[in-house]
Amino acid sequence: GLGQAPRLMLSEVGLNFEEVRHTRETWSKAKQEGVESGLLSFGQVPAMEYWDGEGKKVSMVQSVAIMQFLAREHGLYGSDNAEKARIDVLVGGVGDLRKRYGAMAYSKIDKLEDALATYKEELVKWLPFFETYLSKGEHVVSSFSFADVMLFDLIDTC
Amino acid sequence: MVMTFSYFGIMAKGFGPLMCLENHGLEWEGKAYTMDTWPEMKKSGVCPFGQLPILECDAGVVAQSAAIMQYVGRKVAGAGGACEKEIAVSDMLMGLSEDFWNAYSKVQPTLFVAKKVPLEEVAAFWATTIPEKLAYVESFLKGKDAFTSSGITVGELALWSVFHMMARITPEFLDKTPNTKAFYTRILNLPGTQKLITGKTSFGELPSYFIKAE
Repeated sequence: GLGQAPRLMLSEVGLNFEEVRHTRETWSKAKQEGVESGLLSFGQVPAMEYWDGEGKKVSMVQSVAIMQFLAREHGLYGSDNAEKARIDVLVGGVGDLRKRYGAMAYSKIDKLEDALATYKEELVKWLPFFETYLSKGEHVVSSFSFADVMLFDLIDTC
Repeated sequence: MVMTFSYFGIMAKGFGPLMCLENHGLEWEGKAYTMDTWPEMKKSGVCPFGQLPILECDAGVVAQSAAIMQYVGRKVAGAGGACEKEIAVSDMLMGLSEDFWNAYSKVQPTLFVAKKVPLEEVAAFWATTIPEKLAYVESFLKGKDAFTSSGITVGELALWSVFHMMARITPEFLDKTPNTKAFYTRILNLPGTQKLITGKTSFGELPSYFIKAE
């Protein structure tokens, strides 16, 4: 789900991290505790906790915000404002296709074959856009960035 | 270079970027597309994902409303946040605004789709889903009417924009969350916001994309 891209990113930048995985059985209590402690600012995961330069524990939520933070910290957000904008546009497009995947994979649906057919139509429409992004090279921008991680995760999910 | 913002003449996904452009004092020209003029623009290939809004600026053609708002956040000093922690908060709120938009657009009728879900589901959205989501926002404000030192980071304006689209349908929806209501009222009264919502930009009146469920 939405935690996979941050996992990939944390591994890619070589950070040691501990992962806490929730299940349907453990989530209700974990959510309550997380909200009370401030870790789960919006009652959702993924969430990330880290120690800042002053030794203070900081928590973040929202998968894209986490990716953007890690990218800024590790120089994986493009070389200039034009590349940063290009990355953000791609990330937005990834989010749009992921919504359509979610409508098929996570929502209550009446007929699976209809949902699958709709999803396949969306893939036919969206994949050429991403193909164009990679037409000049193997990365979304001139060098490896977090956009590559997000695009890989999307394709791997689809 | 004067930037050009292109969208439809309605209050929907283009509204957040317009709020950021206006409230951060950027000079921009507007191009409003209609259902008649949009097909040719779509076929032109200018829009990276075949959608609006787009902003044509010194970073190229920037599509996706969040990407446009992030561009403003980098273009204007402090608009994205005054420090790394505030940038992270602005980014989190940008994501949260998308969550609110997704939940809202899943159920609320629009100018183009008169009914998406049964009326009971629309009622449950306003009675249950929204209060649950707003409780987190209220708590995150920590008793203030702003999430950051400026109170107008692009993430805050993104969240406000979705709240305003919701307030046009259900004006009282923030009544039980006083800090969130104060956040909403503060940004509502900003000169840039007022210029936009009173129809004084080139996009004019901006009728609502969302309509009441009946």
